[in-house]
Amino acid sequence: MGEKKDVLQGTLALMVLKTLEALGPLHGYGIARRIEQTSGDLLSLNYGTLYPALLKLEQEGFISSEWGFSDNNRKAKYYKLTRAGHRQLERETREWNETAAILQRFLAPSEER
Amino acid sequence: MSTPPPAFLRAAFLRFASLFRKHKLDRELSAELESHLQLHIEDNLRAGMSSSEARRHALLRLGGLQQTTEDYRDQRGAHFFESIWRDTIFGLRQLLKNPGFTFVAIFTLALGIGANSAIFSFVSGTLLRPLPYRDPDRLIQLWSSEPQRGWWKNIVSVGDFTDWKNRNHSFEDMAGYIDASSNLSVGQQAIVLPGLSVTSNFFAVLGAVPQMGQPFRPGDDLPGAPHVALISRSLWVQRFGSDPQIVGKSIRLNSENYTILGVASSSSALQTEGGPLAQFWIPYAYDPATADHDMHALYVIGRLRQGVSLAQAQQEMKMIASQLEKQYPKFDLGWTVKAEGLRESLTGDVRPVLIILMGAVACVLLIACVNVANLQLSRGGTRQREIALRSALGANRSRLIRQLLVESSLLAFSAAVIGSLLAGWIVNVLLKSYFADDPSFEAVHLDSRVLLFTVLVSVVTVFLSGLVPAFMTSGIHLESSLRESSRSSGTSGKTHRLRGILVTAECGLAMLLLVGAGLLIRTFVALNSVNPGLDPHNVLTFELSLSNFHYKDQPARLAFYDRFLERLSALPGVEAAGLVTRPPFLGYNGWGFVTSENPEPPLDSQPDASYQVISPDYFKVMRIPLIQGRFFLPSDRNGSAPVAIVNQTLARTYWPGQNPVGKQLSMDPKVYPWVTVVGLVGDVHRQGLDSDFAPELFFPYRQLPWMNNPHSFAIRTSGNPLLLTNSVRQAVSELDQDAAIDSPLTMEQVIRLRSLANRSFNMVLLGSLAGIALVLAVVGIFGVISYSVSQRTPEIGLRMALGASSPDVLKLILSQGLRIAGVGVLAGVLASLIFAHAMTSLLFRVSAIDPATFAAVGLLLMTVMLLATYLPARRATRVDPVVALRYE
Repeated sequence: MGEKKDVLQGTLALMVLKTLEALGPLHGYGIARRIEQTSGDLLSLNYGTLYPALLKLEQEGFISSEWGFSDNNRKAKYYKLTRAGHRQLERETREWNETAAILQRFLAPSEER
Repeated sequence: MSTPPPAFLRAAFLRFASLFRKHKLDRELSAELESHLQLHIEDNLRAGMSSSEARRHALLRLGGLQQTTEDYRDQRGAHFFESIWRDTIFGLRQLLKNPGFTFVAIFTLALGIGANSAIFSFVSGTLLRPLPYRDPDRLIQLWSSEPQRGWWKNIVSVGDFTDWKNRNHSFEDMAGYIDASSNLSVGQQAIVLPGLSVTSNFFAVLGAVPQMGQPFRPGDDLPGAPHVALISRSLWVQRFGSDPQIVGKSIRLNSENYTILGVASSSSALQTEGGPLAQFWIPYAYDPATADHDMHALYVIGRLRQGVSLAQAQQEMKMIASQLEKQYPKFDLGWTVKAEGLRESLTGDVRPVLIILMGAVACVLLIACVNVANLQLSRGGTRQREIALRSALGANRSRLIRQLLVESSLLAFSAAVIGSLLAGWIVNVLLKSYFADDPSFEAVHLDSRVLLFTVLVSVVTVFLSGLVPAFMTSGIHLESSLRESSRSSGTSGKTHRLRGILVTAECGLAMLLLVGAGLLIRTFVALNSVNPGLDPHNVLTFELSLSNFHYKDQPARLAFYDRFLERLSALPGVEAAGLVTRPPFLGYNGWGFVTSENPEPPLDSQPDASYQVISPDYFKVMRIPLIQGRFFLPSDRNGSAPVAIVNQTLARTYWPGQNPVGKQLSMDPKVYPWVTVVGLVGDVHRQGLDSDFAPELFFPYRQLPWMNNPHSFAIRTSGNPLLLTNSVRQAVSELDQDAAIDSPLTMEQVIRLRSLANRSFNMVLLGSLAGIALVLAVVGIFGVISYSVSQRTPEIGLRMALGASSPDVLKLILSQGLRIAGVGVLAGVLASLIFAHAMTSLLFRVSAIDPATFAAVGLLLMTVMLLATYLPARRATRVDPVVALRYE
């Protein structure tokens, strides 16, 4: 077990989008918890940084928000993916996969020629 | 379907919009964070924490409410705009705290911006003005051109015009026009109304539609067609009281009635070169079948076909011209066609001047920016502690630069407002004093395009004057400036070197402008010292406009002139009165002739001279000297032996080394008699003080026929010539109510208007700009040296304590100023050499690289710069070493 990793710059937005795609409308706290859980608690998310990121995504039109009630009847702001958000998620996922693939090739043990 | 805007644009807009919903958004965020905390606390309680621990843990994971809120608001955009606003308020306070600095900076920039806007108004109103016609870029002016004799832009013979029009494939159509100013009777006297005689397709080619009635119809310009006219909007309003039933009524021009076809819209005014705007248009009657190629009679414009370029059209017209050369060698040999855009043709004279002036005002603005940058740098020195404190409190560098740029913007935009007022005033003064009646400049004013330009210039000004100081000032080392006193920190050395470079550049720009101004002043002086060849004092000239109707043939005119000259000579205050085809400086009237030695010259070297019909006293009025032979006598009349007088240039050109008196010449021996030269007179600069002498031929007015009607008069008076204008008018209307006097001017006015006014405009403008540049450069060097002296006070004190005398210190400081000025002058000389060719077209009898001008201007600049250095240098010599050292 190593120490917990900080969230990489720029990947937070992707994680938020993916979370909303998987779970549907969700409030900020729920998104934060889900990201931590999905990472197997390897990521430590400073919850405070989530809200500016959510606002940015909303300003860009990838997510939208409205007030609703949680399971135990608490008032909370729910975020959901917009159509542009779905497209953005596809695009970012593809880009991330490409980047990851390239890095993989770099980091793989070099083959003898 | 419209595509959605890109995400970043949308985000920027929302960030800006959120400014106006600040409180609501703040409340929403609190609510959201509160709900987050509650959800988290509930989870923690379920996990078995105590209630206080649950809350503490939740808060901890959220990472501090304050920080979150700040980050959130930053993302929302609140911070950026809010801080700009705060910077503006802070900047205003800073500027008001230093009224001296603020005033000098704004005033300096206002001068620079104002000068730019003023000159740009002229550029915008002339060079950039779209002509008020349909598709103006396809309108082309066509000239007959005889390159060998240097006649680049000549009007066109009707024969050539007809052939050009019929043979070309480049133009949709071509139209011709010529001045047809006529007399309009108003009460007891007649006035001369400017007008054009045009081919019937004139309005169609321009693409101008009359605002009322209809344009000319094909055939209106055939000989014998009924008289019709279009009138201008202003004539319709002023003389016809905006009569809505005007079409079909008639107007009496030159004692003949013309039926009014319509009223032209205000934008169909096209003028002949330098002429006033036309008030009416009548058809130019000609028969295309018999049009001759001899008499150059028409200005020609054409409308290019869609997709044909000017170069292609020029190419085709050249080909047509060479066909015509073969077909009509007697008239067209050596002649070709020059095509240019109508707008270029209308603004050709002012283009080089305006381009140079635009460059000059750009230099002035640069100098102004350099000065303000310098002021801010020296202020930066005193502001170091404030800035260091701000950055210690957490302001990062970009934040500091932004703050400083906001202050520069405040300066530049205030300056732009004042500069625009200044520009409005300058434009008004220039228009009034130089172009009062010139319609080419009627579109010159501060319009929206000029204002847009002013805004752009101000933005450039912000960066030019603010960026360097902002970067220099904000890059201060924290500890060193807080620890040290503001005097001797490391950056100030760098700043000071930079300021030296800026002032050197300023000096170079000033030198460039001063050289330009110096060359123009020398041009003006040279032009003023040219002897025109006549005595212009106390001479009044005017044109007499007689209607062709009453004076159909030349004998009738001759009889009128006889009576009129008699009346003029008898007027009190008139010493002599003369008739002349065209007075000097008011146009050239070329005509071919042959000499008896060479009666059939080859077609390409036909003699040619200015052709003037004069009365015997003309030379006495103008005081043109007789060199040999005699003047004309009253007895040189029809029936007596035909005679002529020539000028020295004609004699030298065609009878070199011989006595011209007694020689014979003829306008065309097949048609006209041989005439004997009886006199030789001095040369006159007929085409302007800056032109070469041209051959001139004079004929006595009483020997008919005239090649064309003379209609100008000149009288020599004993007092102020203009006082006689009214008695001359009276004398005319007593003889004929329909006759009119036009453009009465003294000969001195003529010379000033025709030969000196443009030069004086150039000289005054570039001179003023150079003057401003000089003053700004002096202020610049004074500021830099003063600052340097105050910085070096301890060093100077030390030197004096070690035995340096006052003169040593003086020399030390002066040499610093001298270095700046010297390098600046050298740079200016270099720049002047580079731009010399641009000046050449504006100069007269002085080379664009005239060493005397360069030396004089350089010396002047060095002297003034040294004086500006001397004041602070003297202050340095008064430094008390003890005080200075203790200060350290």
